[in-house]
Amino acid sequence: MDDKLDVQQGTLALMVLKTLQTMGPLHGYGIARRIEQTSGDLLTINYGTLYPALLKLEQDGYVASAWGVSENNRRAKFYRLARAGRAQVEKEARAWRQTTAILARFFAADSPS
Amino acid sequence: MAADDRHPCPLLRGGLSVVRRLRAFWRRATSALHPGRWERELDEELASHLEMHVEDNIRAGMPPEEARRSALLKLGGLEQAKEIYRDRRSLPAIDMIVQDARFALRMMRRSRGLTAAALLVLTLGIGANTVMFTVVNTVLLRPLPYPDPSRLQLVQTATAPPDYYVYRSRNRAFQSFSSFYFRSFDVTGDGEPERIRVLIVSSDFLGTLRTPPAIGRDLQPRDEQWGDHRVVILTDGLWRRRYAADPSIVGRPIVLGAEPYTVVGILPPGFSFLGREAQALVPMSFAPGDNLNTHNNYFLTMVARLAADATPAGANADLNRLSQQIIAEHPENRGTQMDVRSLHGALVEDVRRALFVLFGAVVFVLLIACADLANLLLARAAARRREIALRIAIGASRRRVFGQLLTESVLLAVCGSALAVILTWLSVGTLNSLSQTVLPRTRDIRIDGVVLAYTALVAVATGVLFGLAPAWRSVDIDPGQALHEGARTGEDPRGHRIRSALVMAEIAMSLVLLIGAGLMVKSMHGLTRVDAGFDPHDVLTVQVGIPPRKYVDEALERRFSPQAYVKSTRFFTEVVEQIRTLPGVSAVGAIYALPLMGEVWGKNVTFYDRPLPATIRELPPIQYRVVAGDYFRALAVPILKGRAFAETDTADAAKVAIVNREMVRRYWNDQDPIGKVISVNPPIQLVPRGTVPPDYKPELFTVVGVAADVRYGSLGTAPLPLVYVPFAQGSEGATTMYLVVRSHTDPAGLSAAIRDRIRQVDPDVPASSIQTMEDRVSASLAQPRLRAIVLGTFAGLALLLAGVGTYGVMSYAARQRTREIGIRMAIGASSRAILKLLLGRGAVMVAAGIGAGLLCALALTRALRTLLFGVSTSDPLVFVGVTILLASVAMVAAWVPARRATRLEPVAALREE
Repeated sequence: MDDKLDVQQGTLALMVLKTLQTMGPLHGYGIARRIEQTSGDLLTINYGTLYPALLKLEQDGYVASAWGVSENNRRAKFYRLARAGRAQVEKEARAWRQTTAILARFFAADSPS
Repeated sequence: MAADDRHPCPLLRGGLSVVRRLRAFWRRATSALHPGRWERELDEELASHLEMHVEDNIRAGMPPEEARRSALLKLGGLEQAKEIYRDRRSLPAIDMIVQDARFALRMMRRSRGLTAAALLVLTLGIGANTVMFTVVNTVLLRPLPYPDPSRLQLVQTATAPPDYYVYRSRNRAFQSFSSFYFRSFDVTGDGEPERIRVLIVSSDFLGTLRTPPAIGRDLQPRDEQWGDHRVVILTDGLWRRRYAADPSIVGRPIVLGAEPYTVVGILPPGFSFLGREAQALVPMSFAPGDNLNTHNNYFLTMVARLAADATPAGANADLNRLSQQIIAEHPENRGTQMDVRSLHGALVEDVRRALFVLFGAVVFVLLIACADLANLLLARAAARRREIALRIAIGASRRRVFGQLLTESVLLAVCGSALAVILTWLSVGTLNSLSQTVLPRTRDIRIDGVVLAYTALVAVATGVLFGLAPAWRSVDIDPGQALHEGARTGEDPRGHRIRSALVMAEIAMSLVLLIGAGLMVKSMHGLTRVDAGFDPHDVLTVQVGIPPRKYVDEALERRFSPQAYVKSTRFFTEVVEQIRTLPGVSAVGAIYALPLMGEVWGKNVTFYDRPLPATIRELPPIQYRVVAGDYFRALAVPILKGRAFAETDTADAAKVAIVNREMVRRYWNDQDPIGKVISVNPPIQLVPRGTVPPDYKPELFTVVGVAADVRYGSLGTAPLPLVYVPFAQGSEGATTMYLVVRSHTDPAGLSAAIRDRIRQVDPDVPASSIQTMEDRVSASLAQPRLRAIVLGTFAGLALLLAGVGTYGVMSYAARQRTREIGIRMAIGASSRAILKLLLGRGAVMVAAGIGAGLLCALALTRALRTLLFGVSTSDPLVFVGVTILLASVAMVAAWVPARRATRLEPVAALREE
């Protein structure tokens, strides 16, 4: 539990976008739970920092928000991926796969024989 | 791209496109406008988040309190999250400004009196600036209403038509070269006969201006042929007024100058040229043998469009080259230096200097107002010391407090400027109705984007200017000390120095303005007392123009026969006779052009009492006027020697002339000229062969009288030598005359009767431009009068503001020193001693201000030199008088609070906290 990594703000946005892509429209709490779940509880995120990140994504046009009703009949603000967000996820995914592939070579050279 | 709590995720990699950045920025900026809504939404969102988390926790088995605590912990600090969100949501800068503005509005409402006074001062100061700028913008800055106006040049050198044709065909520097002159025509038929001003133009005139008619066709080169020339283009105004905007008028004839002219086009609305209100355009054309179309009749002005690659200097050189060619080909031509300048420049050069001076004056007024406001705010800042000290003590950054104080003054200035724009908008109507002879382009004056931008700029600059010192002084305190000692007592030497310096500057600037205004007023006064050479009182003037076709025999005229003008002579003689018999008329005459209308008619005079010059060019040009009836008595121009014209001076009698005093002085050395012989047309020896018929002989005139000098040019220009000739003997086809009617009853009441009598002689001839001579004289002074009034108003405003400023500073200083005064009085000082003590400082301040002002005035009034008449820019009377005025006002303003201070009870003064 204490090995949980603190997530960098920079990657939080990407995780949010990917979550929305996978799960469809979700409210803020739902996104937070889902991120923790996906990381297999290896990450700690401060739920409070999620909302400024969501706001920035909305201002930049990657997500759109709308008020709706949650599963248990509660009024909640739902976020969904906008078209620009979808494109951005794809782009980032590609870049990420490339980076890990390159780094893998380096660390492969290092593996104990 | 590291991030921290304050700046969540600069985002991903790769940065944002510009559009995205702009959109984000826009969203942040506009959210500042309704922060409340955003706050509520966030609260709701966070509340619902917490609820959901708490529910999950409870479902997982936690007890309710534990559930809530855990959820809050996970959220990581509600307030902190909200703070980060808030910073992200909007632009902190705008938030700050909005907050400051709200606070400022509250402060303004709190001290209503102060706010009202400040707003009044600001509205007047900024308003005057906006009005002046509106005028300057329209007259000087805005380009003329033709396409590509900077390429249009005006050639003001009066040119003869044959020379014009040469320039037009042989020039290399222009893509279009047109000419024009103004004439008045009578429009008859289709209603009341009306006299209108007509622009007679070459066929490429509208093409040069690139302003084709809105309806119908433009003029064409064939319209310049005599015989095909009777076509006319109407202005939109005339078309609507006289022909009810009937489009079928195009193609039909109207009667102009007793001849039918076919309407071929209508100009677009709003067309104007040189502001001289022409109502129609007619092509320039001359009958074969017409005397006007010869090399020695110069009356054309030209407007031309530069070729794409030409420069004004190059154009000037080009025309001068052609001028030389013309002289070489036609030696009788005078040949002149061609004067080419931009059309815009020519239009505004008369008023440019005056406008700059007035604009500078109004900026001064605004600066003085700023100084007053700064003093006002400084005084109030002292009262707010505690409040500000407290704010700084509990942690507000000085920068923020400074910014907030500055926002207060800028907000005041912005409110003042909004009122100022309203004030300007109200005055636009008055400005539009100013005559275009006083100021060109007054019809176009209006508030546009440029004016609004300027006002906004001035508002912000003003707010910063007068708010800077008070704001700085306010935050430059030690909060501990300020809170401890309560309200300031005793003196504040540095504060007093600043305030005194501001008042000194105010006094200096108002002195400069007052001196400028004083000089203008003295100049104006000088103009009104000029001896114009005639008596304008009780005189009515009427313009009467007859159609040449009906009254001049053109065939005889071409042969230079004086019999050509028998009918026109008879007309004017009869009109004069008719009017003479009206009750109340003591004398009536007529003249070609009235005094103060300009030196409009000149002749080359030959003197026969001395050897002839070698060339025609050496004949001196002298002003020429034809008069009819009892002109000299009607206008009360004294005859100094000899006699006036009489009824016996007819066409068949001996030719006589009257000269003016200046001519005697210049050409006869003040000797008696009676009996000397002159002619106004050159002798045959000097005239080039072929231009006149072989039996040409110039009429010889004998001088029979000397008249006093009359100012025909303007009140400000000295009279030129002039010769008068009776209409019957030398009219040369002048068909427009001005009747001069002197009456011992009210002359204006005669206008109906005069119109009637003229109609009896010829019903198709309208009387126009009926004005008393006094009104004409007054109108000729309109420009200097307006300048003096405007500058005087500004100077008066400056004086008021400076007086108020002086009063304010002295009053404040006296209040500061209340304790000290109490002590002095308690130990026995007399009222007079206290007064001297208080006034002493004040007097030094005023004296220093006046000294600085005098030095500045000596330097700056030099700018007025061309605007003054008969007054030197360092006129001692004005300087001394104004200094005394300002010193008195300032000392009275200083004395009142000082006196009040001496009236205090010593005990009360000592108790003053």
